[in-house]
Amino acid sequence: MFSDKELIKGCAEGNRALQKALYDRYCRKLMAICLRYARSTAEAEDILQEGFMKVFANLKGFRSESRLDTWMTRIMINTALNQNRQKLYLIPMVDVNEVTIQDTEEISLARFHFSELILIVQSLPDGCRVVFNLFAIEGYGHKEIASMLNISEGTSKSQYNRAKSLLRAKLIESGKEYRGYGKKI
Amino acid sequence: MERRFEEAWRKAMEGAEVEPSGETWKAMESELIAEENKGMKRKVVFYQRLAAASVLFAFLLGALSFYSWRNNSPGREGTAALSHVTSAYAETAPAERPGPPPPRRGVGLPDDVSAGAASAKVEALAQAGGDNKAAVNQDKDIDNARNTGRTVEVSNGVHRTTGINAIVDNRTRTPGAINPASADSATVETSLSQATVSTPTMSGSTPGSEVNEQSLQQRTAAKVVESPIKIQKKKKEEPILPDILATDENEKKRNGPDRFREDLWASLSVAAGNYNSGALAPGSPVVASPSSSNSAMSMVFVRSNVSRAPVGSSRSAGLTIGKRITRRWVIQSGINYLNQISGYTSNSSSLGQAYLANYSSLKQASSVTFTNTYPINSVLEFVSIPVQAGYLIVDRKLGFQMNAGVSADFLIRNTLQDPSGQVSSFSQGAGTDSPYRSVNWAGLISTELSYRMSRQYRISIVPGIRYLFDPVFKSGSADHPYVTDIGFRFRYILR
Repeated sequence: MFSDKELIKGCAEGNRALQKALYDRYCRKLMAICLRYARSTAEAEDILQEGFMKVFANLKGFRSESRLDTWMTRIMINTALNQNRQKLYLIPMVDVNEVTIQDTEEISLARFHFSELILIVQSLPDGCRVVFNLFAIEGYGHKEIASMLNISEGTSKSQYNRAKSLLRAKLIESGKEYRGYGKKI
Repeated sequence: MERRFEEAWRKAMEGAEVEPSGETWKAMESELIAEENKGMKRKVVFYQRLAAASVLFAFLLGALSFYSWRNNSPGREGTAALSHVTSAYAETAPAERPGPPPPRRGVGLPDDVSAGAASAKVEALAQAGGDNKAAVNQDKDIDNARNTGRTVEVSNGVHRTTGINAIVDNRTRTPGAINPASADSATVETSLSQATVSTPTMSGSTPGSEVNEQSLQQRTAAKVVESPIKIQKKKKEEPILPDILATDENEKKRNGPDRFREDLWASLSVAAGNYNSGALAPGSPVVASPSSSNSAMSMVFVRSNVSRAPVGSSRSAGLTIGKRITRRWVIQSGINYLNQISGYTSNSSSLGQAYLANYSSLKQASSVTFTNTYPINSVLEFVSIPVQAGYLIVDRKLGFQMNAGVSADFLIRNTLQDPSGQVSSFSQGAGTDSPYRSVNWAGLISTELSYRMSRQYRISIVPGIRYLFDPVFKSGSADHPYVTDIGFRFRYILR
């Protein structure tokens, strides 16, 4: 069992066995992330492949200031964003002046399998999906998202609201109860 | 409450893992192998280009060295001396000429006489002797002068020979009297082989001529065997250019259209180097004199006591604008100020005041008065407009570029200065009365090694050669000055 340090050193030197070891250690976690940003499994695998190539190419510059998996996750997200960038231009750049998200309900997704949730997320339009992932899952603020995607903060908010309403609709459509921490009302 | 929706999704996604298909790693592995090969290929292409550039640069340096050597070699002086001798010989009446007519070059044995043949000749000639050799001694001196380039002076019809020719004289006048102490064996062999050059024109009954025939046959046979002309089957070479073009295409694909490129720039440049005004000092006032046929005028200025061509210094400064026209090709132009200084000595009592500046008055050579020699500096000033095409061999943070082009140099003035202050300076501009050409065309070749400091700035070192297609002077010289310099450029990238 190699340590992260050994994996980093070996991969930077182009050791194929250690590259495979690094891939085996992190590919499942990173694949789950890629699936959230992609429209399909095939697209997610493309992102994963491209992301790992960037990881191998840039490992020499990794300074261990952050955890290796955090650094790799960031690379995967950036790769996914680059893949979606062309599509993101198609997002209607309409600023929503005041978006008030009235959301007081408590929800639970415990009844849903991960693959079901992924399918629901993948069904979102590209812009909504990216903003939802960045805001709800990764925890970025709308200002940061606006800067990352080169859109206005208002657009980010409106995209997120749209994503939220679409997700609610999809959850209802699925026929499973999601309100009140899994308790039926 | 507001964050409940997000928290629910975050919890649902937390720690999730999905196994990718096995094909993903295989595809990645192939890509890794391809990347490694590409990196290797890129290195090979880089070194190919570097090697090509080095060969080109070496070739240019070699050509320059050869040109310099040819102009400065003693052979040129020997040729001048030879013409002096032959003209003196031609003036002599045929009846006064001793011996048979002078042998023609090429009639005798080839110049590349082998050591073995020469040694055989040493023995043969030591035994042969004969008055006929002494009779043709004078002709041999001239012929030797032509062959060896050694100086032969003629004084009152008596040939005084030195060095190699002196050995020949001793050998031919006194058979068997070779003094080994007077020269080393190599010199003796050389001199004897040269001495035999003219022998085939002598009487065929002499023992020496028999030796010549024999050695000639040997040499002819040797030449057949050792002929330098060899027919070689041309090897099939890998096409380099398509490979480079293919790499360019790959790089273009890889870099994409958004990659930062330097398309337009302006640069300030300064350069300094050597100015070689030509073997026969075309930049000197001697050549400035249109009446060079007048012997008095040719004494107006004498060259400094150096046997080589006068070498001065060159400085330039200017502004250049560059534009990329394709991915690898750039075009550059601008405006430069050139200052070329060369030094000479003069023995004219009035530096240029009455003569040098005025082209027509140069003909009045009889009015020149002479004094002790003193140094003068000739300062040529030009405004130059160069146009150069450049090829980017390496186009990265570190850049390497080959430039070639032409330049129109417009003469501002030539200033003759006496550093000792004996006589005042004098300037001459362009014009119909000026001995200088108003416009000179020059060929430019340079390499540019550069480093990009930021997105806006690049600095470079530019070693180069400037070769004038025409002499600076309208007449009196056929030599072409050239400059070898090293420049420094500071480039501001406009876009």
